[in-house]
Amino acid sequence: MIATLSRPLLDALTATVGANGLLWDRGDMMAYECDGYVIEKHCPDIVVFPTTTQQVSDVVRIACAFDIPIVARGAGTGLAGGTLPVGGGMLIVLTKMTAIEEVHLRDRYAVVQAGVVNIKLNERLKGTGYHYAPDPSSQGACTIGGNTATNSGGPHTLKYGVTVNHVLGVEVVFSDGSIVRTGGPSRTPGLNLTGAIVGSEGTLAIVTRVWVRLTRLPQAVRTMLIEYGSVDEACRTIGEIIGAGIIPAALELMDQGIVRALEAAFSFGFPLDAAALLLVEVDGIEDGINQQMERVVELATECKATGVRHARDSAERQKLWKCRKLTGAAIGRLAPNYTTQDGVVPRSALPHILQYIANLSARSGIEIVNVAHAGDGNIHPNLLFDEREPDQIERVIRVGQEILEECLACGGSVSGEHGIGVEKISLMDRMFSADDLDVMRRFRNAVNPDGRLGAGKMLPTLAGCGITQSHPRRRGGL
Amino acid sequence: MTVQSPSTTTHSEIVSTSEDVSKIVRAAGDQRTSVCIVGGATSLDYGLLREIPGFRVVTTGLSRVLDYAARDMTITVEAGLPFQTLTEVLLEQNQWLPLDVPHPERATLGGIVACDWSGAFESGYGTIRDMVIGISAIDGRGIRFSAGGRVVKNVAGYDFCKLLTGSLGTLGIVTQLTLKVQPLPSTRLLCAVGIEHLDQAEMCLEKMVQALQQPAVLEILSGTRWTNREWMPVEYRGAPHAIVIGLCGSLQDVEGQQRSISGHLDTVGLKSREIIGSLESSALRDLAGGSAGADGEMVLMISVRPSKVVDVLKAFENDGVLASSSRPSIQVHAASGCLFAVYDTSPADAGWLVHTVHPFVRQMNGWAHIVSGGPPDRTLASVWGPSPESIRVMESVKRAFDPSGILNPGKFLYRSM
Ligand SMILES: Cc1cc2nc3c(=O)[nH]c(=O)nc-3n(C[C@H](O)[C@H](O)[C@@H](O)COP(=O)(O)OP(=O)(O)OC[C@H]3O[C@@H](n4cnc5c(N)ncnc54)[C@H](O)[C@@H]3O)c2cc1C
Ligand SMILES: Cc1cc2nc3c(=O)[nH]c(=O)nc-3n(C[C@H](O)[C@H](O)[C@H](O)COP(=O)(O)OP(=O)(O)OC[C@H]3O[C@@H](n4cnc5c(N)ncnc54)[C@H](O)[C@@H]3O)c2cc1C
Repeated sequence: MIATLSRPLLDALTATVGANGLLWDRGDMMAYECDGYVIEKHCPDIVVFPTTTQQVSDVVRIACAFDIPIVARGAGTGLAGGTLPVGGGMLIVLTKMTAIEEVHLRDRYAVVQAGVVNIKLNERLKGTGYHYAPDPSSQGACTIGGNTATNSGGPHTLKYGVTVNHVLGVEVVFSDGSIVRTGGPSRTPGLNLTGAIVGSEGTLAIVTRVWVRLTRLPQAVRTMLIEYGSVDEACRTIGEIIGAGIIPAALELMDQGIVRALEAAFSFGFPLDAAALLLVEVDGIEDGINQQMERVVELATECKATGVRHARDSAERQKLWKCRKLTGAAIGRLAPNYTTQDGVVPRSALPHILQYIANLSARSGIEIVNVAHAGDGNIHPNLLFDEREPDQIERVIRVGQEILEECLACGGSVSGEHGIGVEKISLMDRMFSADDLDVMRRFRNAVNPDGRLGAGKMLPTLAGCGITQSHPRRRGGL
Repeated sequence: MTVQSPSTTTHSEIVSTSEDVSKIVRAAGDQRTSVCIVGGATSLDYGLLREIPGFRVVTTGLSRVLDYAARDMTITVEAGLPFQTLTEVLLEQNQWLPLDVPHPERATLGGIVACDWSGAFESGYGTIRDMVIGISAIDGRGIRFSAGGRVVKNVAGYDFCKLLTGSLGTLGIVTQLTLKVQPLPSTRLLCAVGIEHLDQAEMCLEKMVQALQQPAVLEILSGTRWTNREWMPVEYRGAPHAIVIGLCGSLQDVEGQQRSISGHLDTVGLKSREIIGSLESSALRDLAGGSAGADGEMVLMISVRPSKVVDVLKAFENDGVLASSSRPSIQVHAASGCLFAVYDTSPADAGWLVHTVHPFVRQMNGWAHIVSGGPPDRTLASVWGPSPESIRVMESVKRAFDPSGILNPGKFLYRSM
């Protein structure tokens, strides 16, 4: 917490971003107390909205002069508490930097400012035959700067990869205010700093501009929803599809709890006894796509699928995706609160982890419903609870932790796409050795020497973790 | 193992465990001497210093496949495993790591990761950087560290897989890698288009960008050293340039891609001819080895935006800015904009590189560097060109991983160390 917001500080910031580019009244800053991880809240001391990279740099230099910690923020849809100004300080919010500056179809890249909302880029590309592939479910709100900082994924990462595979270069402001560009549309010699900055959760630098790769839109898409009498059979199909050398664009799993929630909320007409649904999308060129789809259906049938619905046109395709994307809203009706985990297991361990979760749910009395980016082994168990019952909160925290520990025991990870932030910081030393974390700290200190950026995030401090998870969040993202 | 100290010359040690590596690095640290890292020794000329006295850690003893989860399409291997062995293991499960590496029987995965090359398959599959999902290495203090993991999706911790890839052994000695592999496409096809004038090449490439699916391989080959190869369709033999297109997928898929490409080429009056054989043919081996450069040859790599590639090629023509007495044969990975000019003999001194090549390429916002051979008086400026603007940060990162600067000193583009 800054002791006082001194006049010289306010004057310096006002001179840089104008009076409209600042908030310091506590009431005005309420919306910035947390992100999608709504349980931990920390009010920043001041919120700054720069509109240019130069302004970001000037603001960082001012923060240095007044010795103020800084947290970068995009749209605040993050689910790990990465934007929490732990211990106060300055939030630099990039949402006013919204220009799509260049689009080069011949060279297949675009240059965008960090505050560009993910979907806006695709809206701009409509009709060109190209798209920006990473599509987190929050793409209507989240920024490309935030996606870069969290290396976000989405349903189509199975075939197209995550954000880092689509970021060619970044312009960043470091903690001393210097503006540096790394990478770009042609290969740059030297260390691949771009690859390390992507996913660094605002702990190395503030991303102000991103060079993103554009990908040809597939000519043909086939989407189908496959029903199963058991989760195991659905999981077995996933293995068979991949084993047959088919890489679908998306392979999403929803369990019975989700099916029931969807039915109760939206009446899609699914059989309530379906134990699991697989949403499978294959894409490519028209020749060969039907063959691919038929092969998927064949494999599903061999794995005892009980029904297949094909999207016959784009409206039906959208309906199937709607059913997947409405899972969050549907779960919201099941309980007053829920929290979403983001563990990853090897694909082949999916049946095991889902069974483990079912047993844990029975044992703990915490109801859990599951969706998963199953093709990637990225599970999103949703733990239902009522925050008015302190005992439930404690159990939910314990159960969430046990699930992630089992993911680690399967050779997996504690986060596939949401990041560590403050939420999973206490699990980092389970996943990594003391030496691994030491090298990560040395790296962070090399790039962000005074620790001014993103303090208390991602890496536990040597004295123990900066923050212990005290409370699960109310809502999760899927 | 016991670690002997090197005399003034080099002391080689074949390592077979990461502890061996660690011991050597610690000993080197104690003795304030350098550690030179060697894999299959196919590319030791890459980088500024050719010879580094001190300890020589040879990784070829680290050659085990540790875990092959074929159903998960991941494989964990030790870094000294030769690429050919990996290919054979993967083939048993109908999978592959889509790279084309010269001297695959010797080149190791650690070496491939350290160099992070742009190969012919980059067009369709990216580079090794997109394939490494887990890494273990020994830093300059002799400490073993890991990052990433064995699952294909993972955002926990800093992505050292990306950072170490392409760091030319200057941040750590890679001991273990987990790689994301691909199903082997059932059909793979290679075809060629003869090109008389470079403007036609740009027209052709522009069309390829519009093709339904970006080809897996998209190369421009310039010079008769290329177009006289025995696999080149007869009607294009001896043409000044050729474009080679590779397609991968199921049979129907590849046929569809081929139709789309022929349609696009028709509109600019060009025809593609199938190269007899498949992607396993000698043509592909040639493409992989094409820029490797034999002894004494200089290989200059230039990287620009893909749409600038033809401008660079023109600069090598008779009156062009880069024209020199010895004319190089040139291979271009056209989708990524990486160009390799191979000279039989070094065309000129370091001054030509510093005063002509680097400024010309920088003015196109591109980068050039020497990857093998070149003038005897190699300097930072001639080999690597001007420093990128992030050099200061790179140097801090180097110091964090290797505080005494003992790993592969003098190879990379750091201004000191
Ligand atoms: C001229 C040239 C052309 C090339 N063409 C292609 C191509 O067409 N396609 C393609 O894919 N690749 C290409 N490559 C790159 C090639 O893939 C790599 O050079 C790789 O095969 C070298 O493997 P190696 O085991 O022989 O490494 P070495 O020659 O032994 O070492 C190469 C470099 O890597 C470092 N190194 C080796 N092992 C390790 C380790 N375990 N940890 C850290 N550092 C290590 C060494 O110190 C050295 O600096 C080319 C390279 C050159 C120089
Ligand atoms: C309903 C819902 C669905 C979701 N679905 C997905 C999904 O499918 N896949 C997925 O991966 N995630 C998903 N998320 C999580 C979230 O949307 C992503 O993490 C997203 O990338 C965050 O972007 P943002 O602009 O909101 O960033 P914020 O929430 O503002 O910030 C996130 C982190 O990035 C840092 N940061 C933000 N901008 C910058 C910058 N310019 N420079 C440096 N650091 C910065 C912050 O400090 C923080 O650590 C979902 C969230 C919700 C609420």
